[in-house]
Amino acid sequence: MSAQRPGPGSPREYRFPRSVEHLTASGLRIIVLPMPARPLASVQLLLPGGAALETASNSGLTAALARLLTEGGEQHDADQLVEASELLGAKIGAEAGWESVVIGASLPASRLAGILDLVAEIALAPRVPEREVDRVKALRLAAIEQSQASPRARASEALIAEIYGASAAYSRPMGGTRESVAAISRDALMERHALLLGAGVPTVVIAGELEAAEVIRTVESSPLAQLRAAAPVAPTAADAPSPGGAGTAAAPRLLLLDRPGSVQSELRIGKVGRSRLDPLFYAALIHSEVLGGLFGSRLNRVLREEKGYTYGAAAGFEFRRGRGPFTARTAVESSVTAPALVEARVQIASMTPQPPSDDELNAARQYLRGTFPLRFGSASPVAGAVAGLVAVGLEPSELDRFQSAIDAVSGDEVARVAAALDAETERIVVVGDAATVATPLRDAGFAVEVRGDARDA
Amino acid sequence: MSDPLPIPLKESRLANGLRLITVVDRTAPIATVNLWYHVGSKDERPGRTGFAHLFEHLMFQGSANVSKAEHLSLIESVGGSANATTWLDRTNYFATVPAEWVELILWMEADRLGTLLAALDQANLDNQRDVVKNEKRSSYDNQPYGTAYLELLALAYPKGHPYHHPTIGSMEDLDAASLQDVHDFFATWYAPNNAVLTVVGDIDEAEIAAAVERHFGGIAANSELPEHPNLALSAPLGGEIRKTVKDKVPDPRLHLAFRAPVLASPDLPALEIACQILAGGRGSRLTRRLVRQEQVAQDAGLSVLPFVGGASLVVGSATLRPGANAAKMESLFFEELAGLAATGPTANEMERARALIESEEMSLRSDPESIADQIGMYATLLNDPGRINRDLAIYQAVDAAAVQRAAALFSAENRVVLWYEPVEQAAVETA
Repeated sequence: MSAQRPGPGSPREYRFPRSVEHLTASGLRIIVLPMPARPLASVQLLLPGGAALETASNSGLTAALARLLTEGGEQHDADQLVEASELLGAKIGAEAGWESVVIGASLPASRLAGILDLVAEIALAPRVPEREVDRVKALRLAAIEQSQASPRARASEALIAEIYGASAAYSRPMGGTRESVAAISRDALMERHALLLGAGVPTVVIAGELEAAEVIRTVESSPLAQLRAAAPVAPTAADAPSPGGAGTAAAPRLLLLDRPGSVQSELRIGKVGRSRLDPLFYAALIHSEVLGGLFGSRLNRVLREEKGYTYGAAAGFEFRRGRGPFTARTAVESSVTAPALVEARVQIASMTPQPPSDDELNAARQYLRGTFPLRFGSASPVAGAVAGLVAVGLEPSELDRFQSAIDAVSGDEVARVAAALDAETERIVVVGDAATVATPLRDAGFAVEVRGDARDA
Repeated sequence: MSDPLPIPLKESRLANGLRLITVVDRTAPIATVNLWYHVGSKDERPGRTGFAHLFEHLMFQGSANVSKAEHLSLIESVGGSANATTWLDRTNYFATVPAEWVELILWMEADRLGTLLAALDQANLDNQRDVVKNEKRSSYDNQPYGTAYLELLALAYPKGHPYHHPTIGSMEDLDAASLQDVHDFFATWYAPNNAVLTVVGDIDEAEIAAAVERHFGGIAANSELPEHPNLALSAPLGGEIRKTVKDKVPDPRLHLAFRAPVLASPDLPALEIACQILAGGRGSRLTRRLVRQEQVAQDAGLSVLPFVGGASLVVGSATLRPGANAAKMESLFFEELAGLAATGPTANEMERARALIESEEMSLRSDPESIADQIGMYATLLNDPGRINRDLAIYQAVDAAAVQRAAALFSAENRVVLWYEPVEQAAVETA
């Protein structure tokens, strides 16, 4: 056994797949990412205008529409659609995001034309059958009850409602609330679909072992070419912060959601975070790795490896077009709820007085640089990453500069991220057994507000 | 249907018994190192359940030349990611890094296999015991329906059978684990002749072979590697076992288990296709009938958990839709299973299943971590790493008659029926 650690061999360069673009006469944007030796291709059609456009009364409409897109189009009913896509070796799906709805599928590159027909059919003229509308609503309402029973989901949903104001789309789960889901009608869904086809530039991203010019020809001659560009529709204040008070420095407000008999407490600390378009985006990535991303991050090192309070602790920003949330999260044994929360706040606050050391910065930089190519082995995450950038208004070339941008982040920029975060209002949510944890939390100085089951609220 | 490119496996074995398999894949500048140890929760002694998994945690706590908790940090700091899992039959450790760092990973794996006990102390054991207890709380005890797998294993395998107890173990047994237990476990099972090392990626095979010899070559084999416990079991259950658990759950959920052929059985691929036809996505029989047509369920699932001895399990589940009748959901579920056994799949279902399998094989081939793990599994559990290159042909050769035969095990004589019911609600009526 040698005590001598091997150093690196000769470094190899990684390049994100080059994209080839084409804009059709009607305004459909086509982005092709040829990837040699990746015969399983990915197709993602991005329709701009996502859930960030919703208000409190129609929250969940976009997610419901996405689910209903796969219930068939002009030529195929739901069963026929799924059978046709499976015969191509694909599972076709549609998903709502804050900025867009994406219809996607992975399948052997040789069968590309077949899936484009199906994607176009449901994008252009979905059936949205009344019976399936009722079913999707009922299942979403049941899923809301399921998530309220899950301490993780309940904590996360309560936290975003604490961080953002009631008018802000980001304050609600994307699937909608009991009231807003119950109010969804087929008419509202069809109106929502019309908006989806008229809220910006539709974009199809295709990655895999393909020849770009040929893909562009295939798309141009497919019914996808009927999609047209429109003027973008911008959301209003999707990220407006909550005006609610946060208590005092000596007695921070803490929302305790009672879960009688819980053997653990779910802890959440949150703030309004940063936009994906923020110039300090890369510095914020480094900040998150140091604080709560890496295994050796400050939160995980102390709460897990030193104290044994938890299976894991994490923190980070969620980047959207607007200012998505920053959250720190862990689950701890009930008896250590108060000391674990105090310790988590100490670690978050430590980022300003004890800025990341060179070792911490280098570990974060190396991790983000090195794991970048690990994420892009197959076509689906490549197409997904490009679609994600397009959705927030960035160019695919942004991914070409990821590694150099990470290298260029300075300690000073990370300090600015930490300082800006310090200035945001802190929100704290705990889901746990109130009978066990309320008193220790009050003794630790928190202004605890206990709330029972959400159904009683 | 096009044949995918075969994965070029190169195999060798060190004098101490360590099996090395390498695959060159230059599609990305990365390399993955994957180690399977043939030890799992089936090898635990009574009163020491959860031990194989607790031990997996201790493998990240440092060794002679790696300090406490440095293992993962070191990998992250060179731009890699790593993890490990423990299951009934095995424990696997895997790391993927920029290709130029692959030797560091080999060195770290060798260091902990050769010298773990030099660094292992009571403080590390106590700390990781707490971490594992919190893992049990957050992944099982504190989750709605979180204990279902624990219950299914305990019901499907008789008391005393090595698969009866779950990998996560019990709180009492975790508390009872001593430093001496840890030493004994390591000395018994963590030996080069009980491991398969697979390296896949942008590598030079001769360099890897030399580095493996350099770092692992001096580690002694365990010449007294014990036999694994006897897993023999009568194949069908011989009846129905039924249980109801009251829990903090919003809606009743049905969980099912059926005893099934072992991993090595030639009947297993047909069974997997049967599960795909019954529950693989929106077009599957159970989803169509229970979720879409009859609207009694929120979801429906069915999949194979393959094990090496005695019997594998097919596990299923369906969550009752609020207001629907539980007995009806259960009987519809069984009706669909019986329907496949009675008349077999349609030609259309077989064609769709084959097309999806081809896509899955392509997907596997674009991920070095999956390639390495699959090879490690086949080498460790079937002594047949080359199986990875025959899988597609094996699955494509399954015909409708074989799927129909496989579905015969979904019988009332061979099932565990486990209901989760909300505590506050009146008892749910079941068949």
